[in-house]
Amino acid sequence: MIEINDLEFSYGSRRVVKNLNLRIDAGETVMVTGPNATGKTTLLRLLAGVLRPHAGRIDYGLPPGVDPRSGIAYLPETLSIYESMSSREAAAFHAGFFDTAPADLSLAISAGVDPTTRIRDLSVGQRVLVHLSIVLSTEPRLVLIDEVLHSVDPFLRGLAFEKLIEVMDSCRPAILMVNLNFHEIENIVDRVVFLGAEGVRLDEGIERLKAGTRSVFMEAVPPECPVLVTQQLLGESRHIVYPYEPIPGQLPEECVHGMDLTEILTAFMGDEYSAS
Amino acid sequence: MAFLLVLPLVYILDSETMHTGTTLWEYLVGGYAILWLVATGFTSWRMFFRERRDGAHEYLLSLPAGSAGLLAAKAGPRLIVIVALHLAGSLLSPGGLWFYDTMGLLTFTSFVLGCGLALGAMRGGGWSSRLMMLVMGTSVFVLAAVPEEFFPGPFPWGSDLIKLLLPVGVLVVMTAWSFSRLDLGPPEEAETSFTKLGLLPMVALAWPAVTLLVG
Repeated sequence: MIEINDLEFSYGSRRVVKNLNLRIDAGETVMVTGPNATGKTTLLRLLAGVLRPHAGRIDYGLPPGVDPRSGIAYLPETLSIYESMSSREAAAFHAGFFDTAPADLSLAISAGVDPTTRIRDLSVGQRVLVHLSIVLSTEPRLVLIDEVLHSVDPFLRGLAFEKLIEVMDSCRPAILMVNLNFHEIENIVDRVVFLGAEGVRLDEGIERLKAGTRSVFMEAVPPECPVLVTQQLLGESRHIVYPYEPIPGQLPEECVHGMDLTEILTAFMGDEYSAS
Repeated sequence: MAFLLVLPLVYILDSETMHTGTTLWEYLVGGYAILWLVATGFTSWRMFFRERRDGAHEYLLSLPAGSAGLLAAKAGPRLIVIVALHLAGSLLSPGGLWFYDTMGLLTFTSFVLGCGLALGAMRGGGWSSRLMMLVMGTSVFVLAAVPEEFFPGPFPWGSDLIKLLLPVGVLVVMTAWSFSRLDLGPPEEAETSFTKLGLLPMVALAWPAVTLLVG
């Protein structure tokens, strides 16, 4: 279990992470999302030990003296493994820090990677698979994946998700994925954390979020309805209501519609942008 | 290589046109001192060159390796090169190149190493790194060009023990501080930390070093 308390971080005078509190259980898969510049990548970098918090703390649930990075698999947005190494050399280099055997690169090989080719000479998709294979080879307790899988073609992306699911089954790590493409990972994510300008805006299980959000097509909704955002759609008013609780007689049934995850999170983003 | 090519040319130019009476050996000794100075700065500047070229800074920082281990792996071989170059220079010119004051040599070495580390960590892009370049350039110019009578005499700080311990302490503290505050953070964070914490003491270090060396 990982617990984040009152976490703060700034780049110069620009405060990026503000008073962030979060708890992630072992075996849980969490999608971190939100508009640009709300600290999603910075949160991952703080968890990965790349940045040091300016305030607050991260408790990895480890005994004192154990380096939390020894149990972390981190796939940054920049794919920052040494590009001048070959995949095989990079796997051996990485394993040396974790006292494990070098990564089995069969996943990358199945994507056409020659293990002796320099990483800089591989395609972006191949590099993602190499990086993923290497960082997941250390039986991690925490997996951090920044928004990098979108640059991979659908076939290779499928292979990457297969690899991830294999690790989820074997080690039950906590997984944090920064993502802006919701549909694709909806089935493997348990929870959504939406970061807004003022910190965590939403922290909800996927099913509860879907059950608690409705799209209402009416000219005006009763004032007691918590409207997240109102849009004009083909000449009609569409109100996104969250948290939605069905009260008999309050809203006509034919006006109330369920929403998929992409629609819900897009509505939250729209609300964030309109507030700013 | 440029050192070996340029110095004899300068010597020939001097002996043929200006007739200053400087010997080729004196040119070699002076030139070697500049070579050593450039090599020291360049070596420390290149300390995280591979991470910068490969974009591997973030990866390196996410590995379970302590600061001490990274310090040993990165700085150790470079310090050996710098010391070896200095010893080679001592053979060339017994008494220590153009540095006749040990404290001045160590302080100035610390300054150059610190500047090199800071500039390397920040890619030389921010206003603080430009200011640092300016201070470095000014220091070298003052060492090379300003007559001794412009300096206020020998360095005025205390006993021989302080003279011995201070530069060594400065070197150790600055190297450790640079690693923990600058090089062990991603570049954008290094710039911020450096601006906040590093610029003033490093600029302040330049003047006593120059005073010691010239005074």
